[in-house]
Amino acid sequence: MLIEDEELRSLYKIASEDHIAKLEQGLLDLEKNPEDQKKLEELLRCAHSLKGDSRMLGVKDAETLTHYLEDILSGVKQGKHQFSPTIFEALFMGLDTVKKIAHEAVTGEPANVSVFHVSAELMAVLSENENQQEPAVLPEITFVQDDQQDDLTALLALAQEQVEEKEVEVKKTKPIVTATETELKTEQLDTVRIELSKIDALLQYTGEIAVAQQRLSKQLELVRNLSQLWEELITDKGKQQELVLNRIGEILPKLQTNLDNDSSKLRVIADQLGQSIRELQLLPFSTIFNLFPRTVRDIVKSQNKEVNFTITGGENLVDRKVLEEIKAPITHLLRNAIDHGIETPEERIAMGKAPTGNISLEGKVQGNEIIIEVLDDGRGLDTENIGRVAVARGIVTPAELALMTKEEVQSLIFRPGFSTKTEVSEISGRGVGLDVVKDMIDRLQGQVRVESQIGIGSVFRLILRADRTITPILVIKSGGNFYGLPIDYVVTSLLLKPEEVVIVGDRPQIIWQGENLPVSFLADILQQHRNFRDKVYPCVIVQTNGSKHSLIVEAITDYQEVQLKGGNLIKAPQLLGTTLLSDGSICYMLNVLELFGGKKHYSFKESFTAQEKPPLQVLLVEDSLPIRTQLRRILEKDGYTVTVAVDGLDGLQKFQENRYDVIVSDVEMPNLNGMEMTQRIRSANTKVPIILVTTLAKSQDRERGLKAGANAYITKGDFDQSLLLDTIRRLVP
Amino acid sequence: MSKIRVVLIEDSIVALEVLQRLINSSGEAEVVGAATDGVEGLAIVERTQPDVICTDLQMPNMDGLEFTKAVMQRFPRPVLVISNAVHPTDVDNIFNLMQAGALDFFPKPSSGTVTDYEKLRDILITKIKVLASKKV
Repeated sequence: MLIEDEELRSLYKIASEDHIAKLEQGLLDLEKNPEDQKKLEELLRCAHSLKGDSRMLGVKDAETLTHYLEDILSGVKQGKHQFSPTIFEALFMGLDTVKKIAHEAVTGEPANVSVFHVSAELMAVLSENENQQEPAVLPEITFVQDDQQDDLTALLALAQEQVEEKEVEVKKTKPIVTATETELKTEQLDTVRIELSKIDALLQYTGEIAVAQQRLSKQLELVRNLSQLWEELITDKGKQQELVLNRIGEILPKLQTNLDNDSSKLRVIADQLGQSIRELQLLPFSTIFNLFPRTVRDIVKSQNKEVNFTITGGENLVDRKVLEEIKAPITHLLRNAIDHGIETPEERIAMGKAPTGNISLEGKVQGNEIIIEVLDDGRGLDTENIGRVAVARGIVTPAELALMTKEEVQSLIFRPGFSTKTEVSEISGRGVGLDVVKDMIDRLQGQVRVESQIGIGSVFRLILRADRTITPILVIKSGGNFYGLPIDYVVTSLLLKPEEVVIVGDRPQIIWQGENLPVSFLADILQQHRNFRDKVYPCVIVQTNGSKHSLIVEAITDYQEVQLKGGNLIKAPQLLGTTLLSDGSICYMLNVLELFGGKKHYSFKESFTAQEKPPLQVLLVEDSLPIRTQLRRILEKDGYTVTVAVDGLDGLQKFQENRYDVIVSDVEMPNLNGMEMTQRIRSANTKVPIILVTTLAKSQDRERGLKAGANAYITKGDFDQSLLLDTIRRLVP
Repeated sequence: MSKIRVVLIEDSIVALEVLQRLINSSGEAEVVGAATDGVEGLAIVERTQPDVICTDLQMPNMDGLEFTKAVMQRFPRPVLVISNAVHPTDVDNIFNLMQAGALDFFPKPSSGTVTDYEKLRDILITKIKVLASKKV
């Protein structure tokens, strides 16, 4: 049945979920400590409340079953029964059924349970444990309506028959309806409780925004003033030009400063507001962690193992969206730990371990990372065996295996195809291998790691970003488009010279900090035309799951923080989605994990043998250190080899010692200025292109420079690196 | 004639809602305050000074019995106990409650047809009216 009234429905949802959760946790606690009278009382009250609520809204089946649960618990309290595994099985089974019925009452989804059978089971427990022959009569003084009474009597009659048959058998057989695995429902995460003080804080921000907005509109006035003055200027040429220009000159810096301040202020407010709102939806790990003890208990029972399960870090706060998505992976890891990790008590004793295994679930938040660990003190991973199996299954070649670290070999268990269906046991086998876990976590742009020692135990670690809405990325260019690489995966970026890439076998590699890293061209992966500005390969070194890879791109443009827009670009598995850069252009987010995995490498041999010409030599003459450094960077980035000189004399000397393809020089320098140096060089050499870069902006200076023999004259006032580079390209044959 | 002012003390949010609807829809009484346990309840009674109090028996922090005793001590007014008295232990409670000063009992509503609902409401309101007229 479905509760019709919406408000009552949602109240029942909240109340029943609360009661059922308390009952479940309480039963688990009682199972460990059956003597806990206080807990028993608490559970009785819970069951009673749940029964009352169900009755009030007409959820009859829930009422009936909860009544039986209440009876069993009450019987224990009164000493009529004692807790036993059979009783607990029955209680859990009854509770699971109630859960499903409540779910149906709240959502309309059919529970598909046989209340009759479950009732019979519960009644059987009631009577089996008593020494009386007759089935338990339900002692009631109730204001029961007539038709209810009839139902109960009818049920009693039927049950009586069943019970008489089963009296002898109950001790031997297990309950008909076994405790099915608890499904972890997602409903509990669609509302959140917020402290009023937090809302007050938010309201404050809105106030500050209003203030900032007012200040901005004041700046608008200044802009209007400027417009007016400009109007005067163009219509009224000549007359009071200088006055007007001065006025403009006064207003402009003021405007700039004000706007600068206001925009910073606004940025701070926006950041704080965003942060506060994000924090509002943080929930503690316990929201989902509390569902696991039951799951663990059920699996452990079905395998006749003994496990002590502890949870830590439940109080740590995490984005609720993350919580949603890690439920399934954690469940699988727990199943795996019990299934493959923990040994049977006999095995453990034989190994000198305590018969009860330990499994621990920990949740931590460190900076921007969410870390969840599942630890067990079971069998651990047999690294050698894993390697053998991986080779046998064709996942890696023996050669590749030989190069792997212990961690990398152990990580092979996450590869698809590692465990076959026949090996995967019933519990772990429902479409759940560790490769599925990895897949789930990959989709969250997180990482799965394992650390294990054979015979001692294993730790499975999930690492996720805490804030997944705003991601810092490295913006790169390829094939005319912008692509983004999440900074998490980027180790560093550098410029490669083509000769640094060596072919080993059929695969290109580079050596970076003593490591051999494989190389790929992004253009190739995206099936684009390779386009390189001459002599350098901008390269990004990325790291995924412990292994590094170098990715050669057309250009590395920028570093930005962007908002990921979703979208599964199904046809392009290498792309995660799109985002907008600060200038409005579209940027495609690269799915780093898909870029290199399993792709065949292109044969690079041919492309590499077509070697480019040796890089051009530039003599850079500049006395100011910062400017010299900046210019040098610009030139080197564009592929030139740069030699520096600190003044005209030095420049002259260096020029005489070596051959240079182009000279870039300042003018104002001590000892020998740029003009003079140019003249001297020209007296000996008329060919080498000389570019003067200087602050002297007047036209006379330009003329003098050109007269001295320079080919080009660039003023630092209108300095633009592309202008310099283009000029060089233009001048060098 | 002004409406009878009622305070509800009930730890089940479902029951609270149902009872509120029953009472408010009658036109003759209105719920002026509600609490989910006895401690909160005392505070609300003190603040709102109702004509009649309806309380549940089983509640956290302070149950119906203690609450009734406290109310009779501090701000005596008619108390109506809403409960289903299912367990044998509750029978004792009923006597204790009457000794403590509770005047009447009403079962927790269970769902039925619309006519049942209306009948229930009438019974409840009648009880409330009766209690409101009593001097405590």
